[in-house]
Amino acid sequence: MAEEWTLNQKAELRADELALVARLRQRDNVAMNLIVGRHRDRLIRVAANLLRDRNEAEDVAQEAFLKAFREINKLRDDRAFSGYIYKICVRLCMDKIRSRKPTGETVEQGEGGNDRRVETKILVHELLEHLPPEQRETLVLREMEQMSYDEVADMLDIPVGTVRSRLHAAREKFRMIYLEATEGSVA
Amino acid sequence: MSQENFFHLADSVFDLDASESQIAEFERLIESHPDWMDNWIDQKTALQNSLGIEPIEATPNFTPSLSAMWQAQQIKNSLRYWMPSAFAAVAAAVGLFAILQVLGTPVQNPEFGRPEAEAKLGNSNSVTFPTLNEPLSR
Repeated sequence: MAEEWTLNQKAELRADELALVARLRQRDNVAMNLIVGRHRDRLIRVAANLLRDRNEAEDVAQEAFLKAFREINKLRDDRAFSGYIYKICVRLCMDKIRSRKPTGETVEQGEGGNDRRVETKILVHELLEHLPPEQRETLVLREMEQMSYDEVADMLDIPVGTVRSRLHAAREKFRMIYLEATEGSVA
Repeated sequence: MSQENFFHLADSVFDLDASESQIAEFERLIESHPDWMDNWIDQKTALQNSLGIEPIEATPNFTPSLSAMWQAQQIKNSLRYWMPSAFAAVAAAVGLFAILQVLGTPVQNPEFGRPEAEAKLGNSNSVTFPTLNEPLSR
């Protein structure tokens, strides 16, 4: 039932998006704002996770939107706008990463959070406790401290390959836990 | 490629551990499967949330400033589009004005009104030609 509702909702969103992109081609500013509202948070998160800098991430996300709007005629299928903007954003981030020198900057944390987010946080935090300590430790160093594979390897005194495999296993387990938790909460 | 494999690829890309060919493959996949990317970033956000990192959201002036940039860009593009025509129109107008100015001015001889330029008919010297009665050779 819940799955059917989600599928219907997704289909509605796709139809909406199709109409919005068609309006965007006519330079409709209302449609532009709606599209921005729909994609901006995910886009900023993608950029922030790549660039490790919140302010730069916002700038890149804005740049990605501008480029997408400017080059909307390059989009062959209006249903693919979401993928199109993701691609532009990732490409811009990669260009920035390639062009800059390595720095020790870390991703800044967002502000506040609503009740639902707090609930999710507690739920997932509890679930995270199920990870073996060495995997949790590696994951925390990578995700929270934003350390590179080499730095984590140095810190834990383990080979880089082990860092890679621990992260892989930790994320895999986390995804399973997350999916079970979210599917459970939807049902 | 399955969504699961895409997640592994995305992990490598976001850990800056992917090769150029993997990045190219990733870009291709996000374009064809944006829903996988949505799921990946949602899970990543949840994972970071569980580690105490608050999800990043757009600042309140994100959309207004983007909208202003878009308007400015459209004006700039419009100017860039019309500028050659406007320039040509101004140049043509100036040229036409110059032609009209030249055509409207009466033609004047610069020597007109100067005494030495006047014809002196009264005291002109007469020219003496030889007569045919005189022998041509002496």
